[in-house]
Amino acid sequence: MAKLVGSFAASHAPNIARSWDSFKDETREWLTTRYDELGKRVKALEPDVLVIHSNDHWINFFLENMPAFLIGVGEEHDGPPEPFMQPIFKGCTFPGHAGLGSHLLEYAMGADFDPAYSHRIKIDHGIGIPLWRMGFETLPPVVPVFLNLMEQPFPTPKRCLAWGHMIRDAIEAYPEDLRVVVLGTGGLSHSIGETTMGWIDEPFDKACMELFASAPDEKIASELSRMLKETGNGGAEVRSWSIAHGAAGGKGFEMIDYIPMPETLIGCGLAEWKFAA
Amino acid sequence: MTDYWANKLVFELQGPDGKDLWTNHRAEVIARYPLSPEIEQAFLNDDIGTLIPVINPYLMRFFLLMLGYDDAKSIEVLESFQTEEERKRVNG
Repeated sequence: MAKLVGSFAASHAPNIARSWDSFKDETREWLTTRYDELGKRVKALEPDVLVIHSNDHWINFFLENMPAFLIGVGEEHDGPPEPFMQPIFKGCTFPGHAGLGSHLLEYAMGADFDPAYSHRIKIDHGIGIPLWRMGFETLPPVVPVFLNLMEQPFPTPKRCLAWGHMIRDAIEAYPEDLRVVVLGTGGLSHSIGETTMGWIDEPFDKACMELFASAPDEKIASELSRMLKETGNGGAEVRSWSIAHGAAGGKGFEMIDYIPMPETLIGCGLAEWKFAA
Repeated sequence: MTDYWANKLVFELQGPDGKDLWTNHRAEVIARYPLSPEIEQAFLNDDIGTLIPVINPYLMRFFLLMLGYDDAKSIEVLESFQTEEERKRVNG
């Protein structure tokens, strides 16, 4: 049977790729060492598959069709189309895991979730940047799960926590012996393309970390629902952290590190949930 | 309130020739979409204040980059439309 062996979260600001060469040395140093640490921890778990949750950034979704959740069930995914990602992943495709992807889809349907699915999805910077910075020599197959966090209404934090729990159950019901790592990407606070752009809401970020460290699901769901109304729009991406938290059974949260980082416009954070596999 | 066609216009400028189309053929691009006269004028005149309420913020971010605004300039332009309540929230 498959086994969930790790759960992680990490920021994915596009400026990490777009502005890498113009960052201050200390910014590059911080990002390099922290994402290396994340990569070291993930690789140490020897994952056969990564199930990565992120939000679409107007790459796969548009107003014609806005799924709350979408699972990439293909054998292969297209690389990021964003111009600033081309120097990193030009012409690349990403390996998928059609068996596990299809299983997650069917399990989710059976558990009364109703995700969309895609046999050919585009990976965007939301998944591409953490994978790039973690520095895999050989990238394990990826099952991408995209959320709509672009255009309201979004799935609630409560639903995302429940999705995380369901994803773990689904993984552990898969008959093949696979070691699976869940990663949620995005956040922490940021404000993009709105009148508060550039605002990094450090109190929000710290409150999120405290919630994941010690609060039960009900409190995380209610507090995030309240807090998200008062912070910048990018804070919505903390839902991917909620999914990683739910997948970990709501236990073992440990920040790898956090810093408000104006050059990337985000509160930049990376975390691991430690649990007995 | 989301304006489907205004967002569609910006969304479709994300292609590789988007910047060239917008710089050199703006009126023709605008004419492809059934926009209200007010939104049409806002696109023609870089009237960001009129576009903010109807364009998704992530598409607005792209649109400002396409206009050649760096982060500092984008922040400056958007901040000029901040409400008093938003100013208070950001500044604690």
